[in-house]
Parts: sequence; structure tokens; C-alpha cells
Amino acid sequence: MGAAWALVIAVFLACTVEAVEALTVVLAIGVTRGWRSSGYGVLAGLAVLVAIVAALGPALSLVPLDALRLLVGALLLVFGLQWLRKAVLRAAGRKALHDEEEEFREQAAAARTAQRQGGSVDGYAFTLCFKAVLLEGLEVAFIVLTFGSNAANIPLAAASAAAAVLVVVAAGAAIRGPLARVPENQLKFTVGVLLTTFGMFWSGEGAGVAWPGGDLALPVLALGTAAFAMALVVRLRGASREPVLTR
Amino acid sequence: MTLLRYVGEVIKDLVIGDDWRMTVGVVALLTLVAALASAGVPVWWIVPLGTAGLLVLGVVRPSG
Repeated sequence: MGAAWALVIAVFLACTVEAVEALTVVLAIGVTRGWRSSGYGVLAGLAVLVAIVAALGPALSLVPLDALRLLVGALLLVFGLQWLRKAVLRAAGRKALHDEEEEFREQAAAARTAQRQGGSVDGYAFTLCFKAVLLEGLEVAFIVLTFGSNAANIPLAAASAAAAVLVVVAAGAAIRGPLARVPENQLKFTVGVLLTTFGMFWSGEGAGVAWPGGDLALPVLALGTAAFAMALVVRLRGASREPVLTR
Repeated sequence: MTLLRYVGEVIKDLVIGDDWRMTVGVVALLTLVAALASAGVPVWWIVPLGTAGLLVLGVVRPSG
């Protein structure tokens, strides 16, 4: 029961971040270039995404569980470390905070200046929305397939991801603007901790590690990872008098 | 071809990201753990320790 909740929360938070990023691009393009071509781009992106997942998803069931845990756990660990590294640097003031409002403004400004091509479909709007949905959607699919296959519950992972996307889309439709109120940087810190934790646990199991306490090692690893990352933030803040902000 | 490029971008983003040292470090860490575990050594503690080391490397000497 506890493991199922951990799966739901981890997938929901990670997919919320990906959905916010895709929605920011789609909203910026839709508002400035029109919703028709943007909508076609979103639908085309979703169609390709569904085709890719339908083609590759079942192949996972053919891989032995230990090999799958090692491979997927290693990928999650790399993915989680990348997120956590950037979240620590942002929290310590060493890297500029991710700002969806600024991203929205940049996308909208670029969309306004881009030339319109002849024809009924606006190629610029279509391509950008297609790309945003496909790229972020593939990351959502990766999260669902990795978490779901390791926990032997892909339907629950998929439902959690779908809930995250629906919540983000509903919020975006309601405000028709960037989801600046979503605490994205804090969310990324939490997701980085969760991905790193599951990555350590599953890749360790796949490599032959017997965790003390079995599944009970998961919350211990999560708390330890969070505490260590926060200690790093404090240490880095203390070490720098003048923060160096990089994007 | 464009679709393949998109998929390639996502895979590169997921597997390598903007700091290739994390990927190399994780592969090295898990190879060591697998080798020691197959020799019967209790190695669970190496995984969090190695992960912490990689995180320190990534934030103290950021490459991206």
C-alpha cells in the first residue's frame, strides 16, 4: 500500500513538471499565433507519442526483471541526479531559477516576430506545439514506463500521470497564461530526490544489492537524500558571497 | 527523419543530460556494485555513498 502511494506521488509530481513545461510553450504559441494550428500540433504530437508508446511499451515485458531493474534504475538515477544537481544549484543561488513566466514571454515574443507562411496551417505554431508535446510527452512516457514496470503496476503509474496532465491542462485552460504559481523549482527539488531514491533502490537491486529492511529502505533513502541535498544547499550558500547565476 | 531526431534528443537528454559525468559515474558505480555483490560482499551502503559523491561532484564543479 505504501509502495503504491510512493509510486503515485513520484509519478504525479514528475509528470506535473513535464506538463507545465509543455503547456507553457503551447499557451504562448496559442495566444500569439492562434489556437487552430497550435491545436493541430498538439494533436499530431499526441498521436506520434501514442504510436511510439504502443510500439515500445510491450517490449518491456520481454526483458528479465533484474535486468530491467538495473537498466531502468540506472536511467532513473542519472535522470534524478541531473534534476537534483540543478535544483541544488538553483536553491544555492548558483544557477538562475527556472521562470515559467519568463519562458512564456520569450516564446510569445519569438512567435510574434516569426513570419507567417502561406496556407491554412501556420507551420511555426504547428511545429513548436508538436515538438513541445512530443518531447515532454516522451519524458512522461519514460517516467510512466520505468516506474510502472519496476513496481509491476503500469496502469497505476499511467493513471497518476494522466491525473497530473489533466490537473495542469485544467489550470492552464482556466488562466490561459503561464503557470507561474506552480512552485516549479521546489517541485523539481522534490522530484529530483524521488527519482534519485528510486534510481538507487532499483538499480541497486538489479545489481544484486540486498537492501536492509527491504522496501523499508526506500523512505530512509529518500530522507537521507533530501537531507544531504539540503545540506549541500546550505554549504554552497555559505561558500559563495557573490552568487554566480547561470541559465 | 525529424521524428528520429526528436526521439534522439529526448534519449540524449534523459541518458546524458547536461553533465555527462553523472552518466559515467552511475555506470562505474553500478559496475563496481554488481562485481562486489556477485562476490558475496554486502555492498548496499556503496550505492548511496557513491550517489552522494556524484552529487557533490556535480554541484561543486558543475559542467553545465
